[in-house]
Amino acid sequence: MAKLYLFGIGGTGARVIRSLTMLLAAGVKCNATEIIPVLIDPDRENGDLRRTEKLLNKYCEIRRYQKEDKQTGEKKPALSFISSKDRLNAFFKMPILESDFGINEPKPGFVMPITIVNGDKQSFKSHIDYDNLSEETKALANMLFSQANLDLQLEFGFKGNPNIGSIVLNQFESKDSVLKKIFTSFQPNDRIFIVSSIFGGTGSSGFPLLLKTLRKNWAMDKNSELAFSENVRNACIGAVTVMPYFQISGGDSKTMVNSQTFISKTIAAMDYYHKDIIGKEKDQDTSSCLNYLYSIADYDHTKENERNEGGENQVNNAHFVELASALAICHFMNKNIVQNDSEKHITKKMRFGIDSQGETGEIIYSNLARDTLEALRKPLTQLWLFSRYIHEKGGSEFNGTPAGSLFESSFFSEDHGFYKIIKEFLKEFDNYLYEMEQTRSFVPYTSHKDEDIFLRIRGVGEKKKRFFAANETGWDLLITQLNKQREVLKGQYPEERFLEIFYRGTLNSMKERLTDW
Amino acid sequence: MEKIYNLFVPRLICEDLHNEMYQFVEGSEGWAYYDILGIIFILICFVSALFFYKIFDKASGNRTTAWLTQLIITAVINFAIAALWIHGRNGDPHNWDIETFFIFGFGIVNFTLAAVYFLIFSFIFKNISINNIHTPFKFPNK
Repeated sequence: MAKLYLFGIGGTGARVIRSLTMLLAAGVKCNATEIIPVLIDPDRENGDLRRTEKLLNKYCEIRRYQKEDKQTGEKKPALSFISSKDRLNAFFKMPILESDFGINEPKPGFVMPITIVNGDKQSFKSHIDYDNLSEETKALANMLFSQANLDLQLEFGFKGNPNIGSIVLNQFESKDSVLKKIFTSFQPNDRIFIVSSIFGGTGSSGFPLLLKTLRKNWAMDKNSELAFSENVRNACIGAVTVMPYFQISGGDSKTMVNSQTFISKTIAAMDYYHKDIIGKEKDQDTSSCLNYLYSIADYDHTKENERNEGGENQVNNAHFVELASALAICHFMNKNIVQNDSEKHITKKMRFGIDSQGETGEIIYSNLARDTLEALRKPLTQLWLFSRYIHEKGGSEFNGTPAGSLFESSFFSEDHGFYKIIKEFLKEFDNYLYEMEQTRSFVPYTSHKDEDIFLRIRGVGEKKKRFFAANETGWDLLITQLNKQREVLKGQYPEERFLEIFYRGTLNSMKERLTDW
Repeated sequence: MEKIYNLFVPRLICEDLHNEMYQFVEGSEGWAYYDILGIIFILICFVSALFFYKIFDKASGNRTTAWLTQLIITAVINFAIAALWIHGRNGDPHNWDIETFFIFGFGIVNFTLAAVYFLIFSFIFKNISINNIHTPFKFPNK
């Protein structure tokens, strides 16, 4: 197994990493030792970016939750996540690590700082020092960039202009780039994955630049003392490029962010990718190609996102395409890649599809292809059951059950501690699922509170009732299965037992109640 | 069982009934009616408690009211068996002659004993139950 260096460029990159965080929290299989996500977006206040950053921090907060040892008084991690026979829990199992973006002093985080010359509130014109350019260069700049482009304030990103992004993001290559700092511990088997959209500004310009920097430029720097650059150059690199999958409400040809231009931008970028990024059989130059390219798009643009040209208000609802893109990351890591020299330069192209969709356009689990179904349904439903129990029944009710009575009542405090953080994360998970219902209508669960909780999972069959068995349903079945686990990890920290009990309880109750699990 | 019945029946109920119940059952090699009836009652309590804690081991049963209902059902069954059995032995061919008031009294004794036995079995079986470990009484943070 290897580390994964994951780059999310622009708003789509951030949203896909949000989806991946949800999948990892649920325990979806991703064959990596640890994941190092790096979010790249010049619009530091972007709502999507901030939301993903917060979620990643919350995930790490759960994993690193510390507990004071009663005997020594020393603080120790409450969750060990050791793989052993008596530890089945996969919730939050995958380590997600911050990168150190500090040049002189440690500065851990998930968002890579992008420097826009002389402060953040700069127009593109001043970024390229337009006023001091020679007349000839000015004329060239005027040919390449419109007046609106030149006057664009960069604090809110590139607003769908890859031609601007390709200039500003060239700083990846600079010698003191923080990008180099990220890769200092890169090992030969580690992998790199880049998430970007192809129809916007930041992602479509940042992706080829980043790839070029990793594959070519560092290695070409003869004076480079970067010991890891050779490893990075030869690394297995995958990418998901997200093609248009939503429309933006309002706007006309004069507005910067305009969904009418999505397709034309996509075609132009695809043409460039085809020439420069996708390695073909006849190519002999292996240096700049991708190993795996995942493409995804959605033709259903009937539901529009609200128009927000960057900043804190740009918070788009989660979309099924982002979830599928996050699955591409897991797919890339789960692949056993042994490349021989002859095929090293050939880019393997992957596409995603679903089997069918409901009459109303809704997608439920039974609409997914078999591989997707197997990867997604069980872990996601376990986390959903966990979340539903915590939000509909609550810690105090759990405290009254045999399994819950193992915990001090203070464990279920809503104001502080582990339970509070878990509850907040699960709230985010609920919102995430709700948002997906609003966009592409991925509705795997219904929200009818009166119904048996297991029958709220859509498109599943019930097991037949057995003679002389309890045949419990709904919450009673889940509680029974949680109670059955009350002896697990005896003597361990309650935080670890709590996750283990819910992981096993949710898994067993689904097997007990539903067919084909 | 004889000793337990001996505590209540002759003093509180009826000396005649006590004497009849003390007789050995024909062909039983030394088993009195008390013994036979007592074993049946204990078995009923045992099976009833086992049913409650292992078979009817539902999350919804983790309530004192559910346990109390089961206890009352067990006690009523025992009351009914005792009363009907004695009533059946009045007249031919057994020629017992126990007044209805005393039959009812004997039923009450069995009702009470069944409740006590059910309670004792409850404390044994609750530890092997999945959902009902807190009934009849809850000991938090065990």
